[in-house]
Amino acid sequence: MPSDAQLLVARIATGDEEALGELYLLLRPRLRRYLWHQLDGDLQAVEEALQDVFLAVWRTAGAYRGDARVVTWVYQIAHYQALHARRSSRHHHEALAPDSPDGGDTPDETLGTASHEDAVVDRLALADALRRLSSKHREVLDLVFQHGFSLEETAQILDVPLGTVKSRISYARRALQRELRAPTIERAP
Amino acid sequence: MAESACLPFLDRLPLYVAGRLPSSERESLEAHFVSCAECQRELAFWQAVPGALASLDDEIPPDRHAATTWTALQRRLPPRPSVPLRTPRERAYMEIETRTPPRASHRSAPTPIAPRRARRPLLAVAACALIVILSATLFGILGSQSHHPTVAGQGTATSSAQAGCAPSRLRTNLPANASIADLSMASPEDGWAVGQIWDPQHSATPAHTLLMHLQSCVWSPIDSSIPDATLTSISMGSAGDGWAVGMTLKAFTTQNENGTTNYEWDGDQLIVLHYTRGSWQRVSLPGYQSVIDAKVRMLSSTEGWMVLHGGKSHLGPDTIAYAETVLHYSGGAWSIVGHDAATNPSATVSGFAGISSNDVWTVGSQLVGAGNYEYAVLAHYHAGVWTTRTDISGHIASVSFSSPSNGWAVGQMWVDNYKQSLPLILHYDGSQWTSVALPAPVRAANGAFLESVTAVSDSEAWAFGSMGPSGGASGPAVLALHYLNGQWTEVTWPLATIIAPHELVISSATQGFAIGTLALSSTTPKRYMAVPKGVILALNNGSWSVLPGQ
Repeated sequence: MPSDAQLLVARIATGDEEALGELYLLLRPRLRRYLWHQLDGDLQAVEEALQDVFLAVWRTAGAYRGDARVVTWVYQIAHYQALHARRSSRHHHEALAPDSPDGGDTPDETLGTASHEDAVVDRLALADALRRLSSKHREVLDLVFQHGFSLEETAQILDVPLGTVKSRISYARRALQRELRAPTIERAP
Repeated sequence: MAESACLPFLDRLPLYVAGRLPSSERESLEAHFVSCAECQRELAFWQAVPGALASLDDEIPPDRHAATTWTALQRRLPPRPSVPLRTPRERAYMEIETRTPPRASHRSAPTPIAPRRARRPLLAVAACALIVILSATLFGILGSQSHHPTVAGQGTATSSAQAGCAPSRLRTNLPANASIADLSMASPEDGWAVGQIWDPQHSATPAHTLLMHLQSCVWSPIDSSIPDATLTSISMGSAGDGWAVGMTLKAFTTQNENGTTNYEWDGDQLIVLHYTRGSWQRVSLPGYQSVIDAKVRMLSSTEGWMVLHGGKSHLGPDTIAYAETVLHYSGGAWSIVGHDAATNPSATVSGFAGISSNDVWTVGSQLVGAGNYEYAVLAHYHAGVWTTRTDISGHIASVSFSSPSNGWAVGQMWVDNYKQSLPLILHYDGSQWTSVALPAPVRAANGAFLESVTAVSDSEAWAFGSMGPSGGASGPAVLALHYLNGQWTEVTWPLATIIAPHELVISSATQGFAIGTLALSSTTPKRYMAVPKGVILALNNGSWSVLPGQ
């Protein structure tokens, strides 16, 4: 039994602009937050990406297969649009934290130093460290913690295997840990 | 030095904080915490993450551009519907909602394409929940495909001596809340149909299966109901042998804004029934989960094909693939045939037609460029090898063969750089597919598309679809085309209350059956969805009717 959002998509597939507007209103707030972080706070790029996302929804609503939630499907589109926008952007801020590899297994040295950390995590410092995280790792944390997606859905959105999602979370943790221990000095843009 | 005992728990901490850990694992994790300072520190870290991420969201300026972006987006929308819905069932939802009161008279000459609708202003932010009453039919992706047990060059039922049931005798005893999904004729007077029974007023209770038998010219249910399940397809390979498929249903609940619970019924485990020695028996075909749609077509009692949509492919313990699975029946068993769409989430199989032993065509489409562009796909499996054609922009919904050298495929194609969508018919002559001209003005009907084709013989065929949102003064109109003596002509669709005809089966020289969707009265206000109901249609000497008793 289709959900309300699935009905909207079905209506959009018949050319119902009003349904597209409803879906736009429904998803704009969270997509905007998601894209804001993916596009480094570039307001104009965010608005353009939002348009491109819903244009793609308009064009492919008939191909939505109902096997994922509508929101997961739209985020998949948004992920790709953000990727595309970053690649073609002239203002391309690369992450300042070292971009950890996804595969492989490095020895987990962090726990030894973790014992020296304060039990209370400095939220400002953590927020700062998150800001510096590479978009690849930041995105997976955003999707799981902020946007309420399961690991499987996150894997669908990012178009990677489930294991990769898990390892990105793990590497994000290590990258954040390094930042908290010894914050990187921000390079001038 | 890391406590090796902690490692399994450390990996699960972020999932625990995000609420993604199953309760059984939560308990063992919490039991470990109690005595592990290391993990407690890690937990504190992860517990701070959501707040820290949220504080970063606080930096985002207030949203002031919702309306201007919407206006800019509207200007960029191509004046076309997007890729059309795939199956009659899906379209039925929309056609029921948007159809104005049906007129009894014949559809008038097609109207010119309606002028572009005035751009609507941005809607009020207050969301109004769509209050819907829906059937449990799932998003069927597999389109129609002509069912003809004698496709392998044996000619058609027109060679049969029997004419089938006298039209006046034909009727159904369709139970209340029933909907037919598919039917198959074993002989001119022996047929089977499948579907489900579901009461939308009690949506918390799932559907149960429905199996109907045509006997003495009456379609009646047989006592074979499987609870919490639906049947989506049936095909008789011979009078005494056939297969039916469907899936069990599992509930997914969400809360509506008004506090009520919304029940969605998702396809779960595949159900397979085999008719042999006079009765239907359930057959175990394990390993297919999250099956959203299933379709079966038998060439004979020993040869047939099945396509599953949504069955998860087990490409590895951590890999999800929502995929199309193609199965071949031969030597008394079903086995998987590798297909590109099995591992390609951008590929859709909408229809298929078996030609002969171990020889099948599948049709559908392939999305490229993150779903922005769509190519129609015709794939042929022959001598163990797939060859694929994908050079047409568009989608092919259905394919049907009357013999190995006569096939039809229908759908829609994008023209003018994705600005227009036109109906598409292709013909196969034994070696290649070529596009066939449709009668005017159908060939230029922007937004019209075809969804179902039946090759009756080498010289006759039927195709059905829709004129799309812009066709017909009273809403989406059925597009019906008949092929005879080398030419396709448009046929006025006479059944005002029936939309989305599909699965036409010609069972004798003068008779055939099809499934149609009963379009309910549009006095239901817009946004209130009626339950799309599949009913059995009869074609007698070129004349269409809805069988009484439905």
